[in-house]
Amino acid sequence: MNDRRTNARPPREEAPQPAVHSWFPPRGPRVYHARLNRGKPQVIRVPVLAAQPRAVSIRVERLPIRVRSFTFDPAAPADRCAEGTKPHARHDSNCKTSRPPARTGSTPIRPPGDVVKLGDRLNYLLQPSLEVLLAERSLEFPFRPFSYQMEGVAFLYPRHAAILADEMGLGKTMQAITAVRLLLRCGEARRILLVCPKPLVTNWRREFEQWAPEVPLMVVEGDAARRRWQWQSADVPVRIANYELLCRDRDLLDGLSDGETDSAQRRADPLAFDLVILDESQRIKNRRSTTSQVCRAVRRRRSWALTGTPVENSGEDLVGIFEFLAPGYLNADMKPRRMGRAVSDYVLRRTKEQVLADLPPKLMRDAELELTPEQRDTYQMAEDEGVLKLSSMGGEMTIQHVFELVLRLKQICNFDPATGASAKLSRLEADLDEVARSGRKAIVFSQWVATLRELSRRLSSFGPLEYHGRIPQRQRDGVLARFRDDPDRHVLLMSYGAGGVGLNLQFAGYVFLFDRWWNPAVEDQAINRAHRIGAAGPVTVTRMLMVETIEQRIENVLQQKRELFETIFSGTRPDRNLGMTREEIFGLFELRYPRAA
Amino acid sequence: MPIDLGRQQLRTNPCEPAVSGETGPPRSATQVETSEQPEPRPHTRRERGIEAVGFLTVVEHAEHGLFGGYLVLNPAGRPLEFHCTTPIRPSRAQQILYGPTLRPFLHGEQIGRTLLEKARKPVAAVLVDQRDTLALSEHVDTPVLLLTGDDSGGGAHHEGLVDLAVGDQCLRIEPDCANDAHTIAEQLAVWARRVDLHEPFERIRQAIEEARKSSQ
Repeated sequence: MNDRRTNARPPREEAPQPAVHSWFPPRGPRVYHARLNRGKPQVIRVPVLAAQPRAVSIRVERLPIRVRSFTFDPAAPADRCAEGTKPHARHDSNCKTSRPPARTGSTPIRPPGDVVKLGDRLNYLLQPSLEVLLAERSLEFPFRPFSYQMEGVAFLYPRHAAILADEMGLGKTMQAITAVRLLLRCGEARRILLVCPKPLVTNWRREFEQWAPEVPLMVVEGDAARRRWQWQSADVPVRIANYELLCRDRDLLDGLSDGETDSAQRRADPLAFDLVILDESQRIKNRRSTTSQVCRAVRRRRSWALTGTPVENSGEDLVGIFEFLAPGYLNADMKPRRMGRAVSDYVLRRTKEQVLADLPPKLMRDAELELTPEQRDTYQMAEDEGVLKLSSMGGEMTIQHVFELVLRLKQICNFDPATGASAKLSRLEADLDEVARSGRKAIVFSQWVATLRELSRRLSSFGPLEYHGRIPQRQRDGVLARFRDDPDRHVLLMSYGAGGVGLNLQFAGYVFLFDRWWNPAVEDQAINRAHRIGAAGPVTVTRMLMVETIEQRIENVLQQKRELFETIFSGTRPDRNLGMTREEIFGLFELRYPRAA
Repeated sequence: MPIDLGRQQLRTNPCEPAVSGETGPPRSATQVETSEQPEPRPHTRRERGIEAVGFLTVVEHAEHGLFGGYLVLNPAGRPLEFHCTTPIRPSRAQQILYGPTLRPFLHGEQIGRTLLEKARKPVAAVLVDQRDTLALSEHVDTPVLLLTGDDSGGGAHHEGLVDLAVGDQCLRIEPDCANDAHTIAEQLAVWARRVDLHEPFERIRQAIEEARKSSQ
């Protein structure tokens, strides 16, 4: 061991006595001796040079801030013009109304995507909520709107081009009317044209009376002279016209003020509109149709489209509607996903599942039935003969020929023409018996008037009412009123064409689809006559389908096509709005579409 | 000839007056100025009016720092002016040296005072929704009131402040500024009956976010 003490400095007066230390191996026992010297410790002075202290100053500066400032004109058009547009008569003082309380909701009005200047965008974002705007203008409602409906109004109100594509039954009509009301009250619109299918004109008039009783409106109708006067009349802010009438008055609408673009001239033009709304706008999906061309030709500043089915068969349907909203913005070559991104700021689409937690459930039942023996014999014979005939036609075969066979077979699925046997009718009678005994009401849909007439005859014990194309227009409202009010009327027989859109039949708890339409979207529209806001309870929908027939083959094809809608309108469930192509219709009989023809 | 509503012709001014409406000039926003060195403009009691109220908030962004926004509203809740700052981020030295007083310094003196100095419209009061921003009251003559979430107290965080009941909404104010408290409360009570006093702060936050995105 190397002891440190052996290194201690020895006292000066004595010679050091180092310890003997060897590392050679000892030859025998060896003793180590260490001697500790007890001398006086020596003091060593070490100078410590302390550094001169220095002060270090840290300057804490104001952080550099830039300020962006915006000023706004608080005197909105609303504030200046509201007095000029309100109180036009028809307000029903007895109407039980509710004002949306400004403090119970806060729906912001967000800037549309095509507003690009920051100052303009901030002008939207910094405005009070829609509820405050409505309360400010004393706009009252017969019922308190749902929050999603307020969002719909806030979507439409600032937009010059928009599609409100809510699922049927969510109240597109009310949302459009409220947005119209706000535009009128704010002085941002003074002449508005609403175009809808003819059967819906009375429905729109009724809805306006309910949701905007102070807004004067005019239904364009009557002979040519009367219509000319109606089109040119300046003192009515809202006009309602049907598509067919608009097409008839095309020359009249085109006749005046061609080439006028100056705003002063347009103000003087009685046929220029601040807003044109197309209800059921899928009517213009075909860009080459007369209806589409006429609608696009109407002079206007804002264009809104209302539809629950913006895409029925393909993305081209949406392109057709956009030709009205913003010509050239979409083209048919766009991939669905890209098209979806492009339209996202223009289209508002909500489904019932998304927004109506309280809506009664819709119970879907697929009644898959076997043909009766009589029907099976007739069906088999008709199909065999039909396919042979089509095959023999070769290149002369057209889509019409295939359609004829499909329709023939579907009719046999309803009734055997020879014997009248019907598996569907047997099932329907059993179900209706239960419906009637429980005091409920049911709607039965078919695509054929003949089928509805036959059903009417054979279901007479249920007091059926008919609503289809052969019922005169003037009688239709009465039919619906009787169905609603007469407790002995349990069944309404309705065609898809006449009763598919716009009607409110939420008092019916049962819907039967006696035969299936080509396009599930049309079926959905029919179902939603009953399953909509105001429905008192669950709505039971029974879809009748004959197994191993053309009906089942069609259903299988449509089943595979429901993803396109989801791709375009991501976030909403797959729509049932996909029809069939020509190739698919030929494929029902394993025939090839003759392209050369 | 039909009006072509092609995309290129869609308006950029959201409140452009209607074709047929004699509605005067459009309700558009005007960007007034952008400056690094604002001219100080004191807010004196003489300038104060009851026709406008200011709302001031500071938004903390994890990546960029603190953004301030100041919105002046008329009694109908309509915007008259909006001012927002570019983000600021204190240095490490400032964080050490200011310690717990850093946030009141940034919110009140740095951001709040700068924004109020840029405003043109005198306001009856400035409402803030953060306690730190209440420090602004040391730098301006305009009453600065803290809008709290409820009227049930507020705990230690609001110690030393004077309560002002305005309708069903609760405001707090520094004791030194409480002289005009009742007058201010009466003025604001009119607003509080019609609008939620918290709501304009949400507008400011959205506007700050919009401005931030536009500058990227």
